Amino acid sequence: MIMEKKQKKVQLTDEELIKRFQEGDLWAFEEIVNRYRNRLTNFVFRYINDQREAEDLVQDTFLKLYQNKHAYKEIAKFSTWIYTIAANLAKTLLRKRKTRKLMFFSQLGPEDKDLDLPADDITSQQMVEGQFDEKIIQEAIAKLPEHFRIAIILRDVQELSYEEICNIIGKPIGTVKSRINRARLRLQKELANL
Amino acid sequence: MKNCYKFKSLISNYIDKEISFRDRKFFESHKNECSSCQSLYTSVFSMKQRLGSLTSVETSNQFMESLRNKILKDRNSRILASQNKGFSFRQIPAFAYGFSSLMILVIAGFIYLQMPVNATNQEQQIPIAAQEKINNAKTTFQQQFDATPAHLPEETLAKAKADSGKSVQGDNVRNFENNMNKVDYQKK
Ligand SMILES: [Zn+2]
Repeated sequence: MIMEKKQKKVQLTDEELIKRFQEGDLWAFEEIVNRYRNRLTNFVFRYINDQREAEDLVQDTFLKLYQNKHAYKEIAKFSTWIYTIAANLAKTLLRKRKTRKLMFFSQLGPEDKDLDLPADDITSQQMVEGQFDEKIIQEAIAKLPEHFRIAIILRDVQELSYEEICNIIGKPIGTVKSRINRARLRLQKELANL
Repeated sequence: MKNCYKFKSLISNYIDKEISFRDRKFFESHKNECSSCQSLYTSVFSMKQRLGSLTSVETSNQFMESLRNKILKDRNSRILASQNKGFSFRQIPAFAYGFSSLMILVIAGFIYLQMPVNATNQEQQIPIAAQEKINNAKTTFQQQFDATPAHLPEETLAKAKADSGKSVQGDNVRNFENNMNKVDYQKK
């Protein structure tokens, strides 16, 4: 009987789940978290290039959902909504990181400025052994400008539709298409140069 | 060259099948006749496939627990904040500060503008004879105020005057010396 009830709940759509959560069903909240925790962490990790920070940020995304569950209105797809929250938090984090970096460099003397931030060295030997392949790709993604990066991650890593990406980024379809194309060309060039 | 540029701009539309019939015809024919564009297309296409097959990052086992802790911590801080109803400057919104300073400015400005105008008006309205009387009264009042108290003996008064002068002078000298010492110390 209980199993049957659970089975039914598992088949609920995201929109049905959030509706239940809005009515006070905490099981529905946990179900949403379990559905999205890996997907969102993957997206944020590719975007901000730090796994631990990504996990922390995704928890903050769910905390926001918990605090503002009534802010979700049925006019939007739930996935788009939760992705938008995560994307905005990630953008804020990147902005803070940029300011920190600027402050760090402004504190250095002129002769120190040639030193770059410590980066992981990828040797050609490691490149030959395919295991570092992913690391190289991740580094190349991290080099893309932010607005290209988010577009290509949502499209090619997360495999979302153009429409969803438009809603998350808040840009018209033409802009999104052109960003994705330019991001792919840049990334290809970056990887070809290695 | 112009065709290569157009080809480049259409690559993603072609890969994602978001392309018009005419553009698709152009794309395919250029791909067959331009080797560099063909290799670019192959490279972009395989890269896109590769991105889709990247290993998924998994959340840690503590994910749920940390999330619960965050939620509890947030709830507790909210409860604390609602209980803590004591006065705090933070509770006053910025616009209240703005409004009150604006009001003070307006009132101060109003008083400033009104004061001198009233005073001159009053003086002008008073007839000359009455003004003389007032002036006389003022002088007598001033004289009374300045006059030495009659009940104190002359000697006590003189002594008091001398003492007060001395102490003031003494203080000045001491202050001056202190300052000089400070300057000397700083110079050293
Ligand atoms: Zn060409």
